[in-house]
Amino acid sequence: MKNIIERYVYDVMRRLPAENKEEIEKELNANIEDMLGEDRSEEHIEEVLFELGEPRLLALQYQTKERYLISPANYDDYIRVLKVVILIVISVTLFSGIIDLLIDLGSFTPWEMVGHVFSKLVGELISSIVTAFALVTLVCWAVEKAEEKKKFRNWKLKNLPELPKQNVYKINRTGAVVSLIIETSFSIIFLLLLINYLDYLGIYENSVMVAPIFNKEVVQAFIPLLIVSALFSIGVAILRVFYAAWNVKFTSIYSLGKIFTSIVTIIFINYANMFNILMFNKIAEYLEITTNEVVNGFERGIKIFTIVICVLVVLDLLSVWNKTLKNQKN
Amino acid sequence: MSEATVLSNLVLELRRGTQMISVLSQLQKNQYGYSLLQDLQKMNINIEAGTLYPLLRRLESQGILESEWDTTESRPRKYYILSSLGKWVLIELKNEWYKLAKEMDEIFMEEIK
Repeated sequence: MKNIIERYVYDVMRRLPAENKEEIEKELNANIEDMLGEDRSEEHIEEVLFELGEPRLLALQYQTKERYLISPANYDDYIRVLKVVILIVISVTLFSGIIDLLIDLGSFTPWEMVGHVFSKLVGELISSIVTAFALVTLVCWAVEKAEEKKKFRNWKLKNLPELPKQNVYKINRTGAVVSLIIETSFSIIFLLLLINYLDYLGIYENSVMVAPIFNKEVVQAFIPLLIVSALFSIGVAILRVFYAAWNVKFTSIYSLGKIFTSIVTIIFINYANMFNILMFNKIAEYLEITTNEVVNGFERGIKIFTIVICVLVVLDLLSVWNKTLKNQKN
Repeated sequence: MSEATVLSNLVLELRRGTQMISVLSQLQKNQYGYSLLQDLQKMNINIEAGTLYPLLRRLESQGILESEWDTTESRPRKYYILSSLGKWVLIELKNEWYKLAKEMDEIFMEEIK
């Protein structure tokens, strides 16, 4: 093998920062020469280089700084955040990808469709997972850098978690993470539908939309409120992951969030002119009854739905406050 | 892991703590990397070349060692020697070693009683 010593030294050097590089190179060469002595046979050269070890590891020994993005101390948190974010990204991407596919489905033969599904859906899935991975890593790295600058003793005794009490209604950690993922995915998908795909929501006849479901202007006026409500519920879901048991503070926030989002939902579905009259006409046409009858039936449905939401929310809040107050007593 | 590996890992770890004193103790006279390595190996102190050479540089950057290139010979060599800080560090480490050895003795004597 030619130039084997030079190649070894080069492989170490290319991994080192420019600072002191020349000096280290000169010294490493001198050390190798000393170790070789008079015997410059290929076997002896090999022996000496193996004694020095793998260039990658030797270079690491010459480095003084810690060399990682995420420290072992923060690694678990990093992996946890990564899992949740990637699950959310997968469900949102799959959903919007499938909607996109459904929209331009008509123009494909079955074989083209299979190709399309793979190229588009898989492609989008990979690119969004990679993006999520990069963003989470970047954010965690930034947090790590920011923490590094803080003083050594930056944790506070009062922030230590309370010992779990006996007979306490705990918040299930896994359940909380699952509900965070579902809550976030659902909110994003719902908003995506209303923001990006509003023009596609409707009744179709032979791949042509004949009646939209919503009145566009009314829905668009609602979108800021819906975004606030979504952020609110995602925020509460995130908090839920961090609270181990139901306590007054968290239950109050939880109740507030629940009531707020329910009110927004109820207003949204009950709002006058939210739904397009053309849709009611079409349904009337299909069922062979008058538009008025359809509208009346629909309104009755909405009323029942509203009552169901109210009952569910009240039951949920009652059970949560029941747990909270019992925890309070223990 | 076999019992022998568990033991040899622990022995290695125990010895690693004393490596630094051994290295410093051999640097009261001028030494270049390979001569130091040979001296240490003669004394049964197992340190790898790939660990020792970078260690010398780190000790120099901490001010514990001083260095000088000797270019009078056919091959240039970098010689290291303890600085005045290094001499003081070595004395302190030795004291610490004696203290540690005494403490360990006492612990073992306790056991015998």
